[in-house]
Amino acid sequence: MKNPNIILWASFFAVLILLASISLFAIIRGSNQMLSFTPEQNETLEITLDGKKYIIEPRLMDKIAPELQKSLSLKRQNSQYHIDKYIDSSLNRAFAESIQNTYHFGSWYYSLPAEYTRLAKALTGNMATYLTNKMKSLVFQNLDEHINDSIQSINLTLSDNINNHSKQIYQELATMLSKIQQPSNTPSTLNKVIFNNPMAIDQKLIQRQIVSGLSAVGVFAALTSGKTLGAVVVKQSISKIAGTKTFQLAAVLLAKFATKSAVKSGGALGAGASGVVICSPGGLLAVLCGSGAALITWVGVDQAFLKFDEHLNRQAFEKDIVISIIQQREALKMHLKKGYKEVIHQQYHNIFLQLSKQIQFKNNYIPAETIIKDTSTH
Amino acid sequence: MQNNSSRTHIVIPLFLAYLLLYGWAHYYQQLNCLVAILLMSCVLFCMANSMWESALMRRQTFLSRYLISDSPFFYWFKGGVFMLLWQVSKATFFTLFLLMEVIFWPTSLWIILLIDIIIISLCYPYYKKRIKQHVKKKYSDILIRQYLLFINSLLIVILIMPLYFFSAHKNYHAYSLISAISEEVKNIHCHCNVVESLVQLATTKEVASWWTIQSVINKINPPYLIFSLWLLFFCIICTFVWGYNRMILGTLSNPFWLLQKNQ
Repeated sequence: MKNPNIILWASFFAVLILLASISLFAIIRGSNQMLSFTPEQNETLEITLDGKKYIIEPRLMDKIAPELQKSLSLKRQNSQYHIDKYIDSSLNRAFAESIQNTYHFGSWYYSLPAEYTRLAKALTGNMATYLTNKMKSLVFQNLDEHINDSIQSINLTLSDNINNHSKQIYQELATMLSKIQQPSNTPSTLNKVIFNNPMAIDQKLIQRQIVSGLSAVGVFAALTSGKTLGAVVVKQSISKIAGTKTFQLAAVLLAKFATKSAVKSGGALGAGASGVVICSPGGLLAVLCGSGAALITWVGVDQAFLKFDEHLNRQAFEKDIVISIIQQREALKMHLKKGYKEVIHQQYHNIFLQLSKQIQFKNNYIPAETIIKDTSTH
Repeated sequence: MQNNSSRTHIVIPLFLAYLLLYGWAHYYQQLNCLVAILLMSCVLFCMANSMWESALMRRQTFLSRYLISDSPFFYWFKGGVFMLLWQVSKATFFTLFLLMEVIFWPTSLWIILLIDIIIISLCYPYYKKRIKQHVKKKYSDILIRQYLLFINSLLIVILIMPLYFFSAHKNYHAYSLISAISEEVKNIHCHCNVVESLVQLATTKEVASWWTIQSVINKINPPYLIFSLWLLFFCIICTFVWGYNRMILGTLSNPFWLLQKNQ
């Protein structure tokens, strides 16, 4: 019974292997035939580009597509690089004034009138609000305008850049077509292709796109309510600075108050007493003298403490503010670069779509074609 | 009847292993980290099982052939924990490599592998019956799996090479290497961040290899050179086939059988 089993299995596998081999051979041969099949082409293309007519063999258009695609990709990278650098320089200029103004803010902060105004606001109003408003007026007075101007100039630069590149692409296409065109007396049989002029991009379109892109980012959600980017950034900058440790410590009055009070009470009492003694023959004058001396002592101690505080802490105070401003600036740069990258990608994709209506851009790569097409040309 | 039941015993674990890989390839993005690690562990277990079995057999052959049974060398080289750990480390590497490769497999390849499992299930009992006449019972299964590993790998590579050769792939002509990689990587989003990082690495490798070969081929003229380059390229990218076979055959392996008999 062994032999029939062997014959049975052998024939079973032999048939399977034979069928598999035939199928595989058919697949390979058939694919080979399909790839090497080029229908006879008597037809030509009449392409109209920028008013000029070109008579082209359709198969030669395949040579243009990869070159054009590569050129488009390089121009997109160029636009990206150019805009990134412009964002850096533009925002550096926009924030420069604010960074310089921190010195003036420090000078105001460590002055006696400012100290007493803050105390008064603490007593009667809202000291925190007063401080942030003061910061806005002294440090960030023109920042929102500068930022909005920067954005407008970036949008203008980008639109000019993309429009130039778009024109260059069409010029390159014209050059390529002129290299592969047939003699003008070649009869044009069938297809007529008209390339429309490249669409000019308006900076307002870019502005809408960038605002829409940034609104989706959490920190810029306020843009949806109609606020300008500059106003949003100023508000965020103030919040950031108000959150720094140095700023918080500087704004705490009680710590200073306790120290100063101890000194003042001893000094003021002494000054008051000596004032009374000096002016003692005067009676009422003695009271006035005493009060005046106490007042002078009070202010004197405040001034001394203020100077001491300034000497110890001003540098760190201003440094913290500057660091916060720089961090805010760099964060804004990062968000803008990301947003403009999407805008650039979208705009170049539109150019690509416009071109691909007439030119077949092949997104597929078949390894077999690299051999078969080459053998067909030999 | 015996043949049918033994075929069932073979086809079920093979099919389950296939299903495991298929599920991973199609749902890796939705899996949370715990499930992903569980899946990876299952694949790792199968791979390590297979590797340990062949390592044990080779080690036992070495011991019985070359070393005196009473010597300390025999005791030290007997295998055990260190060998197991080494096999598990190798299996970990190959598991990660295999799991990152399967996500790029086209549907036609999955169909070929499914047919391959059916063929293995049909052939396995037949080979087992044939080989028992010539080989010691203890080692017949192991030897069949060793031969199957090699033969099946070769067969699959021969089948999928034309598949890759004539099928369409992404064209990277218009991209630089960095832009091609960033274009592909930015679309990867997985529930588990560890899996996402691994997939991004695998995608980078895949894009870089296809971009490189497309750029190089573009600059070469002679067809025979182009063909040789493609052959070399496909041989390299088909190395995952060995890992795949290790994994599915690992579901049939039983290295503890070797250890018991040795004791």
